[in-house]
Amino acid sequence: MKPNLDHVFSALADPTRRRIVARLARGEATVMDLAAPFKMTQPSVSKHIKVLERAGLVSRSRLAQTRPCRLEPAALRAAMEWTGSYRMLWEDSFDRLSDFLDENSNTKKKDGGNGR
Amino acid sequence: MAGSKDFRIFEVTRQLRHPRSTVWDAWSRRDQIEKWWGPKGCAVRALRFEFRPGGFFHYSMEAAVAPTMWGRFNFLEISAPDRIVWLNSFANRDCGMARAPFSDKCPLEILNIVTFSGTPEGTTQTLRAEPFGATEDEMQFFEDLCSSGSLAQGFGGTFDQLSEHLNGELDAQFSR
Repeated sequence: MKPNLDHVFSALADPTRRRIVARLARGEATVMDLAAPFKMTQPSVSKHIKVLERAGLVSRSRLAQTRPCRLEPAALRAAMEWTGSYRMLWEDSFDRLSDFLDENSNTKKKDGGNGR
Repeated sequence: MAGSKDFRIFEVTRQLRHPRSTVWDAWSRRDQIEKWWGPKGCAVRALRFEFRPGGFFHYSMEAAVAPTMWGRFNFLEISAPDRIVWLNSFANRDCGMARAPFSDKCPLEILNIVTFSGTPEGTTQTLRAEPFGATEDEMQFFEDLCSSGSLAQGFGGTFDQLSEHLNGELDAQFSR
């Protein structure tokens, strides 16, 4: 499933689901494992897992009957990806701004300067 | 709206060897901002430049081998000479908001605050940004994810691969 940032954000808007994600970041867990520390019934944990699955954040193994849940880093990566690209865009732009200001001030000195 | 100190996701600071009024001109004048703003390898041209709250900076980004893209700043707050707040997004050719042309993974709008403070050597310029409309809880969670050593270990080096992958992918995106 292709991660979509809006789905990721809305899935993570719920505090219980954030705790489930944080737990799964430490390793796979079954619905039963997840239900115990959260004092929740298995069906209500299952509902949260379904939302996380739809957002692409969690997948469930089909190999074992307990179908352990695991975190899918791709969706989290998608959610964080923009920061890397946006940072690079601005760092490049700031490099050019710095060069531009240097050139501009040299030009002004030669022209006798009309800058403030 | 979040105050500037609530921003946690993204911050870039740069020391500039020029007085604040000179730096301010580089941001606030159409013929200056188009000379330095934009993705590497793209020629940026200002199509619309209204430097006032509610106004737009609408620009085209032209690269040698890629189709033209457009973007826009929608200025929210302008406090000369120390602070500019705006929403940044991709745009269509008519300055309407648009999704990133290369990915649906970027937030539709990014809220930006740039501040300028005078120093004996020149100006300290700090840009902070975060996805517009994200809640405080979501921001906290992302901060935890991004900074959590245990999470990185849990992923078994995924984040190292991730940053390598991102660097390659971004070079490809922006140098096209």
